[in-house]
Amino acid sequence: MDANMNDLLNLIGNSIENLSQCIALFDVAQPAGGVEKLSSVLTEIDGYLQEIDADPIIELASVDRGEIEGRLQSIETDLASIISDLGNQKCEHASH
Amino acid sequence: MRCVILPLEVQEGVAEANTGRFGNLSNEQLIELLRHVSEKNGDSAYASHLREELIARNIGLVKSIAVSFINSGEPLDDLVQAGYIGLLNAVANFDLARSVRFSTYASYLIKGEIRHYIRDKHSTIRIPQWVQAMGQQLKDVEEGFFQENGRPPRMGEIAERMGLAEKQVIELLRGRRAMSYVSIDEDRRDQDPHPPAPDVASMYGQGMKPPSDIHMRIAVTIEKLEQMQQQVIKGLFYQGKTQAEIGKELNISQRQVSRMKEEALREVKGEVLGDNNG
Repeated sequence: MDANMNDLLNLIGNSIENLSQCIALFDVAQPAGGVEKLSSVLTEIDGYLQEIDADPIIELASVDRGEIEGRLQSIETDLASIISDLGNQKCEHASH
Repeated sequence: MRCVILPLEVQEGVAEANTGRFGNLSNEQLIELLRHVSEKNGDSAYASHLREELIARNIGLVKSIAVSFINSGEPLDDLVQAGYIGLLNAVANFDLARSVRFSTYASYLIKGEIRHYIRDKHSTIRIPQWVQAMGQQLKDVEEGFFQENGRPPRMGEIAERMGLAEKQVIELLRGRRAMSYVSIDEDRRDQDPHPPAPDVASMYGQGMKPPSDIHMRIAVTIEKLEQMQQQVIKGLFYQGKTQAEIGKELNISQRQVSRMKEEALREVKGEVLGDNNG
């Protein structure tokens, strides 16, 4: 496994942290910062999925690799849709 | 479009039989090929193989989306069947997914069918036919627009396509919202891990602060991650295997297993026990 790569637990921990910060940023009306956090979670999950085969935590915890991949991909889809909705909202405001 | 629903075993059989046949091609390349073949030869046997491959590859996507609706109280198999209709629709209308990734387009239709199925199952009052028809027309416009543009339509765009004034569309959206509230009781809605995307009306008249709907969707994502975290922790610490057994399986030493577990425990300590205990 690449020394810079997150293992699954690290990835989940970072993602939860970033998403919590994202909500906090939205609360103080800083959508740009929030979207940046959302994007960083997407990028991190994407990077992890590229190297999931090298993550020993999957074997160690006896979890199904395919199932974890599916769940992470579903989270990616959700986040992409949130970012897309936020982008549309921004365009809408700009045009009014 | 309603299709004949295959039993799960058959779906899985199809998946097994077909996956790997076009192993080197991505979904998007398959669609490009399908578009090319369809334009050239119409609905040929080769085009059918390509469609089957697309279905086989994305059955996992249907299952993963269906699992996320499990709190609706409906059996998983039924949710998968409903989602499968969405996948079949996505494959049948592959040509409409020009500006978006196929998985994004398919996910949208799969989630739509599953939500539709759940609402049908929990409908408690009879909705007048004309209200249902208008609601369906609105849904078709929204889906058609999403397929073409890769984003939900704005109010003016819906109005233009339906030949209505914006004011009438707002009333229609209000009516639809009311229909969904009577269709599903509040507890179930709270548990729905994929509440519907924000309707267009909610995006008007607000400041740049994102609507609370976005907060809820992010909170649901955090919840999903926490569930996954719990599953992994359970696997790591409570599955009853000795470190020597795990080491043997992974071909590493018992000491390495121990170190990895300690490291994993450190990572999750803050989340599970709270930072103050660490």
